[in-house]
Amino acid sequence: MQSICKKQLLGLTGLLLVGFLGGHLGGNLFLFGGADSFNGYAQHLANLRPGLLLIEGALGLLFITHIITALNVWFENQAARPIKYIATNQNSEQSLASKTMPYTGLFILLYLIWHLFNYTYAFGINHQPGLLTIKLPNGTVETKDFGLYGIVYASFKFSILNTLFYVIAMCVIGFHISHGFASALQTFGFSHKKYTPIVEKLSKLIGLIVAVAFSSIALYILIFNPINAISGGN
Amino acid sequence: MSKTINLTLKVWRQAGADTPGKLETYNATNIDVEMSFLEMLDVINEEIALDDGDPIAFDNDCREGICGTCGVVVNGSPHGPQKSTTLCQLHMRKFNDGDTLIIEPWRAKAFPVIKDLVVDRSALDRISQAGGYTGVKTGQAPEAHTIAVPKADSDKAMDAAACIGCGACVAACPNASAMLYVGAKVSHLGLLPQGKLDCDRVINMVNQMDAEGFGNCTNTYECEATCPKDINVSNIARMNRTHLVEKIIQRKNS
Repeated sequence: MQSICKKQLLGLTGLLLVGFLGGHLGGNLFLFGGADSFNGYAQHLANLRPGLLLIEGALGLLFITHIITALNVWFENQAARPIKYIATNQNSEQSLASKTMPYTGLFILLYLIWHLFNYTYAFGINHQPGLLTIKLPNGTVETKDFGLYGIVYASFKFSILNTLFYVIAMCVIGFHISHGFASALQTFGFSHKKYTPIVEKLSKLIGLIVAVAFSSIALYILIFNPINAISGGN
Repeated sequence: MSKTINLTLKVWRQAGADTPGKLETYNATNIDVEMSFLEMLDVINEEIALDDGDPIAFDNDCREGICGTCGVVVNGSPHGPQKSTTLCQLHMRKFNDGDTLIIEPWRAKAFPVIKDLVVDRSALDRISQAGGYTGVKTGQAPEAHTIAVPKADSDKAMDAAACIGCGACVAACPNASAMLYVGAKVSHLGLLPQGKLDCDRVINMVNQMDAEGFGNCTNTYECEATCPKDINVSNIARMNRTHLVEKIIQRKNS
């Protein structure tokens, strides 16, 4: 495949994945609404089966295409300069994000695997019930199964390392997108004196929104403990 | 008598294409700040020659920034630290007394070192041969308005035509990509009515560019920052979209 076609495939899959993240974020925001609201949304998604398999398959294909194309481009780029410079200098004003795309990308892949095991397929793999022990307003303590909401809640509330990793991963994804979005448009040939600087700002804004919005849910549960849980997990 | 400075030069020395090279240190003493960078190298070479040594090989020709022959990487910047100029237009007054300069050749798989700081840039010529040309009628000069060219297009084409093919974009790119060079050719020829007749220009040039072993563009824009002729990365965008259009047309016609 020609170099430009590869770049365009990378850009297209990247843009579609940003679209998916938007949908995902919308779903995650149900976490603010409590157990019934979030589990209702999760159940709604699960009810879409077997149609959901199609969406999951397409999504998997998007990720795999994006990753394989990116690795291919990266290896070719490494090979294009076999002898490195002894002295290096940053000459352009472009962000660090553009030069660290392969590294942030690989980190996101690690996070993705962790996410699939811990959240997406948590029921199927771990057979883990979403048990939470909560303190009711009248002072009594109650333990019950909160389903997927309970799993997510416990992971953010009772494991600071877990939450930290999650927040870092969200920032890395945001950083990756802050270059990726504008870069994809350039790769498809969008260039305009007036609008390209706006697209570049928009790209950074989308990255920031992704990092802040996803992280806010985890931090909200960690800091505010909205259902007053005192222990969780098994 | 103008001011003089003393510098330490660490220059890449490599006897031939297949021999390993290394940095060698030279003391540049009493360098007149009004000299150009190449004149400074001439002075060093005279001293090396007087000591019966092998002078540092470096490419140069016009020494007025229009031929695209010169160019080395100075402390990580192709053509040195001054923006929008070639190495021969860089003066020693841009450096301070006591500076250490690391001088390396363009580094790219597609630009093999011939000797010291001289690299083989014929890969760029082969890309131009693949599509960086246009058909013109020979004979007497036609009347200037025979083919009307919109002013905006002619301006953009002329801006792109400023490319001197020095290869600094490749040297600056973290991926050793030649996209800015090829993009400049695409705009230079493709925007003009004469050039529009030559279809598949971009596909042919990109095929050659890939075959030469240049890297892929990752939009870091180091090329634009170091280009001595200020070729804009919007030319790369034009190349990207023209390539897409050519691909679609090619598929339709096949």
